[in-house]
Amino acid sequence: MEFHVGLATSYLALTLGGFYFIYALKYYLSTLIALNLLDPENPVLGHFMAPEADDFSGRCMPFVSIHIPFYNEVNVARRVLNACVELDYPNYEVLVADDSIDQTLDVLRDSEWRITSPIVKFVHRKDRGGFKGGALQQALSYMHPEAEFVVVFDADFVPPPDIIGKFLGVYERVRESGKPVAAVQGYQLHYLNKNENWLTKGVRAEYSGSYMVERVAEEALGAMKMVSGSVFMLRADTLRDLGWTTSITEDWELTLRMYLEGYRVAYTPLIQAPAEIPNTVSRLVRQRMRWAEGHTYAVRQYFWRAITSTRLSVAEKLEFLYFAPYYLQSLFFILGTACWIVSEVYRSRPPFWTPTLGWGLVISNFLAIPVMGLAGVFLEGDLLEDYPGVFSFTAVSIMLAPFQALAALRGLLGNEGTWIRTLKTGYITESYIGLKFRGLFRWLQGVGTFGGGEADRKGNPPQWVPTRRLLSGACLFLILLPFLDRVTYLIGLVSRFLATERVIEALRGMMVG
Amino acid sequence: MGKHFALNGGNLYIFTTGNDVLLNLNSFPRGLGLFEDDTAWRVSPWVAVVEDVLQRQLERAQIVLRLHGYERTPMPMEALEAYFVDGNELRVLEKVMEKQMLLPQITVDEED
Repeated sequence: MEFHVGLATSYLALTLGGFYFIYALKYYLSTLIALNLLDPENPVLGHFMAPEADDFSGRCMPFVSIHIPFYNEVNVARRVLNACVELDYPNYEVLVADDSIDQTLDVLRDSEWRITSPIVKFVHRKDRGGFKGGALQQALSYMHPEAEFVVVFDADFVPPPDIIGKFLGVYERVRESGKPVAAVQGYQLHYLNKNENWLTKGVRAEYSGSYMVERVAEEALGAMKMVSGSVFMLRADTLRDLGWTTSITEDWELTLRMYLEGYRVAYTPLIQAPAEIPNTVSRLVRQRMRWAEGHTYAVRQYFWRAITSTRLSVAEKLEFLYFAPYYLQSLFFILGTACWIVSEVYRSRPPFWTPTLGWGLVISNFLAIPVMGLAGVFLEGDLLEDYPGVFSFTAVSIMLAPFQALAALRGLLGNEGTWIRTLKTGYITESYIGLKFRGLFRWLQGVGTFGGGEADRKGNPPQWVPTRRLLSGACLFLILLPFLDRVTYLIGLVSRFLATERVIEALRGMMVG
Repeated sequence: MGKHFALNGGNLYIFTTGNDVLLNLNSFPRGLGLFEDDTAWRVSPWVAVVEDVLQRQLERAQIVLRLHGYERTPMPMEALEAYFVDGNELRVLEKVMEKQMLLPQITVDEED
């Protein structure tokens, strides 16, 4: 009996480890793609993602409606409104969808917003029916009829002045290629309070990996990409047709419906809006549990429709299949680890098991996200400053696993839960000025080759090529690690074959001939 | 050019035309319960709307509004809603002009 329990758990551990390895593989491949694509020495240079400055000068400027959902945002309301009324674009309105029950209402009642240009409208609801999606849907009914595009920001974001022009520039560039583009997603630069504590440093690194690496690779491969709650531009007519729903992950749900209607989402890391990072473990846990539950519930609702749809490309379906059990990864991680421990106790392993395979899988799976995070902060030129966040994030990922697993199970088996908002504190550790000069400028000036470091005394930029190569090499090594003994065995076989006398004779004959 | 209010479909509409700026919503006493968390309301640079206003709220609101120079101007709800959404004052201007035409003409004698 003991033998069977041990063997069963070892098989299960290996299967779940293999399943997890598929995710790890994607992270490593994404890292390799992003490192090559976002390389200034590369002729491709990611130009398909790069917005053009002043793209719309002297041209028709479509009306843009900016939608900002508020729920008790007294700490950040004025900051986001001040940023939104100062954008460098002449033809837009700001529409706040408000559900607040605190002093945020004082900000809304303030007459200063009645004399600004552009137009600022507030729509206050007396309840939170439908949560963020419900509020955005109501705002939609009060949007200016001439609006051609909608841009959504959460309340803790600080959009830079040129953001509308850059969104329109990217939209213009990608609209003619492939399927119609319903939305352009930008980079949610969770950065403003990154040095507040160990947690914010970790989440900063996590977002960097996701937005500078994973989504960049998805864009390059034509895979499905989601609109992510904030910093995205939508076609107003598409949004009017599809509308917002009351899902607790209304962004993911809208993404699925857009793809099912034959649209796609484009992504660029070069449109960035800085934002806050959840600064306590409990806030982060609540946020991620909502994501896990809502995401898994929406997958349950749309799974077969997406799989059988003729409007999704193969790459999009593959990405959907990959992304569908995304939060169930936590469950598999916990189960896999438990099975691994049990099998170690019983010392039972499948016949094909080798220490390289077992430990290689563990190491490779464990390092996938940290390596992606490192590549992300490296590509942003923040490696020296932000690399400690990668260690924090590794700890955070393990800590979040049981909570995400529970929430994903709830989404899979039960009904969708309630929206638990993430409190924004308004606390900032990074200067606005610093932010304005980072990001685009730094990247365009050659991050990855020499950006982010100090020039030497002769004025030569520091060489970061070795770092890029080191990261790429690490990815390749970690992809191969679980199979290293098989690979070396194969190499041995091939070299033994090549070393046989007959082959050597044949080679000699060819050289003499 | 004008400060007006209207009651339509149970909603209170406060609106301005021309260069007039909408009054500060904090001018209404909190006890009145107009622009509070438990009511549905909207505001744009030209129109403020409170939905489902009670009679007693309306009576007190009228006092505040008249103190600030607002006058009651009957207006179709559709026109007011459209004015809220797009800010095109032509939608309400005709009715406002009609009302002003009906007001007694004030004549000023010129001095020699």
